[in-house]
Amino acid sequence: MHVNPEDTPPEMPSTIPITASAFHRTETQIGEEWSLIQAAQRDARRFGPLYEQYYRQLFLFVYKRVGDEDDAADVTAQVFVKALQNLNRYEDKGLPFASWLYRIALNEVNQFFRNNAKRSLTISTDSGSAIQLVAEIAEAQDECADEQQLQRMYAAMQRLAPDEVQLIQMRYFDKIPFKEVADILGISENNAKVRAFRLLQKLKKYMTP
Amino acid sequence: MKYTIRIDNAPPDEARIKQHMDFDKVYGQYKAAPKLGTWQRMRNKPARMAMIATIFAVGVLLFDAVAEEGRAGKAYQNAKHALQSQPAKPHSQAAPALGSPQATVFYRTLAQAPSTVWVELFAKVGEKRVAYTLPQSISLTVDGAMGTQALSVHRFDSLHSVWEELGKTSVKAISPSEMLPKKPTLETFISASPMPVVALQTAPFALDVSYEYFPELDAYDQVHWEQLTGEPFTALQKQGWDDLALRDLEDGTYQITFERGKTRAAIIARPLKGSQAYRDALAQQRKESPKSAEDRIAHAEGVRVRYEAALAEWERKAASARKAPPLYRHTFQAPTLGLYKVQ
Repeated sequence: MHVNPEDTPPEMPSTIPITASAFHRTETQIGEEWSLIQAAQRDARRFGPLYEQYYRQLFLFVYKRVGDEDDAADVTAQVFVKALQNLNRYEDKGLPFASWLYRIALNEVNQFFRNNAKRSLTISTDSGSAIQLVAEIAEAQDECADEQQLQRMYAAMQRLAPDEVQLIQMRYFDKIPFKEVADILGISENNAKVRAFRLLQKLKKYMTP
Repeated sequence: MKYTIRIDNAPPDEARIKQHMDFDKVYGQYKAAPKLGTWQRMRNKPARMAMIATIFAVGVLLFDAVAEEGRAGKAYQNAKHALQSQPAKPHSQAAPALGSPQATVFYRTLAQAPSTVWVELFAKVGEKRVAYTLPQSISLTVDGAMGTQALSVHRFDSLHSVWEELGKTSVKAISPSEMLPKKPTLETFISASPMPVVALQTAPFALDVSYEYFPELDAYDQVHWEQLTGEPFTALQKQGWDDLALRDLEDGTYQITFERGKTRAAIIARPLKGSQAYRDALAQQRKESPKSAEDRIAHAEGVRVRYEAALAEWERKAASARKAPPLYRHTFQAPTLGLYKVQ
């Protein structure tokens, strides 16, 4: 049974998009941010504005993966400690500051699961994004999917490696643009696209009954 | 389940998120955290560390190669300098190739550092250096305080200006006394300096014959002969003869022919008629003979002086050698002509 997107509940759960303000910035904003970074590089106490600017985004990024509020707060704090420790090595050479922070966050999340082997990585999404992904996997024109397909996709995701899940999460559930996904993973944009395409192929294969 | 999947899970709201925000705490953690040392940061990035290690290794190799090239150039400069002062020795093992000009292979030590020796092997035809392919490897030795360990042998590849390692030397410890030349003896000096041969005239001799057919000789109570040509009479006399014939050559000389069977030997001699002529001839012979004897005595004296000087020098070297530490002879095979480095 296909589910029409219109049939989905009108009240979409409030999964907060974390990407829009993180990556899409004007030149003025980028310039101002660079000034803040340079000030913080000279004096770590002046990192406060950047901390406030990015805390919420990074907290949610981490929360979606660790699945626990307190753990997310601890990991996020650790992300900023690491950012402060390495701030002097950050240079504005094409890598946006947000991507740099997300890269640290991704590493800290991975470190969290290495330190807590009994915990499992959380995949957080909303129904709409999940349905869109099913449609993309099926290469369907309409963004529609039935519950069975969704369950198959969730089951198929269980067969992916953690780094593959992270890429799916970032691109299709967090809606982070390919360019930024590539920056976070430290790969080229084309490579990110190729990896994503192959992952969709893999999921499609796994979803085939 | 490998992963926990949460669908439509509401995240903490803004207020709750803000409750977790505490920059002072983060700053405190940052200040309290131990600073990462360079080594620690390197360990966290194995790929970068491997890259730096690779760059360092390549750098070391390049530096070594450049330095080696410089050293090689210096060695050649030393070689040129050494050419002026150190005579090369012909190598006994290097036989000329068949059909080639008579190239002689020479070797010389070009320069010697405490732990390195450069040896050059080259060929010459006459005074001109020539390219020459050795028919087989020849053995070269380097003596000195080079240690008991086998040393590396390098050959200079002039085409690529690099040192190519050939292998190791074989080492033999030798006492300095063993390296002394053989102790000189008088016999060796005498045999090395043979007496000059003095061609003495045969002393006047007499013949036990009847001169009745030669009235000009028969008139004298004793006739002696002074030999002018032919095999010395004393030698002929030892061979023994059955007969002899005398023939007047009518120029004041006679031909004396000795016969035994079909064998004949002839000399020409001048008769010394009367005792005075004999005494004159004998005096003349003695006049030459004492001079030769003096030469012999002087020669023998010279030999003795040289022998004693050589013996004294040898004794001095032997005494020094007995006190010296052992030396180590390093031997290696040189397959071609060129410059070799032993270190």
